[in-house]
Amino acid sequence: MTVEDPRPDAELLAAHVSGDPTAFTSLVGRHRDRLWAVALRTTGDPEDAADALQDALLKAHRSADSFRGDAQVTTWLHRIVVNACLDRMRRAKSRPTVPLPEHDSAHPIEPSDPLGRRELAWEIDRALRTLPDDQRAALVLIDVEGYSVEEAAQLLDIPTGTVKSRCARARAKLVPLLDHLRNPPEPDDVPVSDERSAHLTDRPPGAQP
Amino acid sequence: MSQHHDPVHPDSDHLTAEVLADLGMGLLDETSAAHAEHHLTHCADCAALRDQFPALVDALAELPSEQMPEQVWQRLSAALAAEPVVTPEGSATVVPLEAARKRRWTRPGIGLVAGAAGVALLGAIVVPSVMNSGNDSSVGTASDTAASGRAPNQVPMAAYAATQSGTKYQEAALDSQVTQLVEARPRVNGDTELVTGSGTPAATPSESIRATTEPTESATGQKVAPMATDPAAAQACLVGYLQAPDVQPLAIDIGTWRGEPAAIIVLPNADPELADVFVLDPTCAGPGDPLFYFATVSR
Repeated sequence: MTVEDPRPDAELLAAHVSGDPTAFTSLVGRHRDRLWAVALRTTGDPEDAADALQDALLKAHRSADSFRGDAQVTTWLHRIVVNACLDRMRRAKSRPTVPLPEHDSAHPIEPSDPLGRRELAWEIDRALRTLPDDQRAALVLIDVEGYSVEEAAQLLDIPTGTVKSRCARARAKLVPLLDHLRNPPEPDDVPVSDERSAHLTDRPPGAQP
Repeated sequence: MSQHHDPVHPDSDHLTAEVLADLGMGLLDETSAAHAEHHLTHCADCAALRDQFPALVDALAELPSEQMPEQVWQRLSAALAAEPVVTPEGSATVVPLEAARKRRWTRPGIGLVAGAAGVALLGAIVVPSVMNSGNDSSVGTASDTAASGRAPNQVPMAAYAATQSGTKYQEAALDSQVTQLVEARPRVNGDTELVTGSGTPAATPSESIRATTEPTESATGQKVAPMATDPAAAQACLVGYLQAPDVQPLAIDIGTWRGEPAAIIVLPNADPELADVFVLDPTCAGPGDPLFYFATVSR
């Protein structure tokens, strides 16, 4: 995939359905990073993401003629990818969630830079993996990928109310974490302390040595 | 984040993150929402917690975009390339390339010709009758060609009958094309039997392929340009690729695959109803794996 195929998505998909052997790969290649991001964040694991993407793309490749054109091609692709991720996670359910390695001293949270983007992204990705699969899928689609509630409901094939409540549950779990990250020296059960100590220590007062 | 849980009495208890999340999503009923809103007007802690939600949503939206690692893309495109082109009938049963590659090493019995010393060599004996049926004089056999051929590398080689039909092989039609190819062989009768034995001074591929480098009409009727393959390279490539054990191919043909010269090698499958089809770069000239495509088709 070195040369971008100039044809629009719908045209590429139609070409694929009528036997163009490279159209589908061109289509997927164009959206590969976004599909990867969704798969990676929905599954929380690069291996699972790659496996799920392969399942999904082969399915999409075979069932392309079922695409009706009433949705965007990307929505259709994302739907297949998200469902493949959820399927794969359900099948792997017996496997315990593998927590990410603890934040070690090589990557300290910088209290002086509580909004450091890399750190924050790292922590959020880590926190995402602690969410139940269904909640994570809803949150990733709506808050990370920017789909509307309606679109996410369509993608996940569940009622909008369910999408909202899953997303809300997920946000409720993440907010305390984000709060903690942004204000590391101020554990939430301690009344607001004086700013001096907050900035002089390099770890939360309550943290273990 | 308070541990208290009573949105109905917001004045007495702090709001939980769950309640605030539901409030933000519009999931609370009117009464609960009103109580929560009222509590928020005079509880700074809860208001501060509520304000974390937009911050969270912003942080999620700003997560750096992920780039698909190149190796993942390679894997996915190989899997897609191994899929048959969409057709209403859907003919070929396809094994992903990865599986095909594994199979090539692990399955005993895959291979072209094994010499007595364990050296597998391929002598490509062109049998033009596939494209020129009826012209009996053009039928070559291992021994015919050997008689007139030079053997510049002087390697005693086992020979195998191959055709150079120039057929444009395609995923969608592979099933029928392979059937046609395999069935074409008996029609040229015993002459195309596999000639093996390291003592046979078989034709050099260069002789035999050179003999048919004029444009030919394929079994499917397409004119194809002369092959520009170096037969010696083709031989080394295919032998090297398929390794040694001695299962006899059902057919070998030189044609094209997606516009490129390709060697089509049909090997028996464990299931007699099926055949394994390897589509290879006949020269191994490309930078990557010479296997273009692999499929198991019905016979």
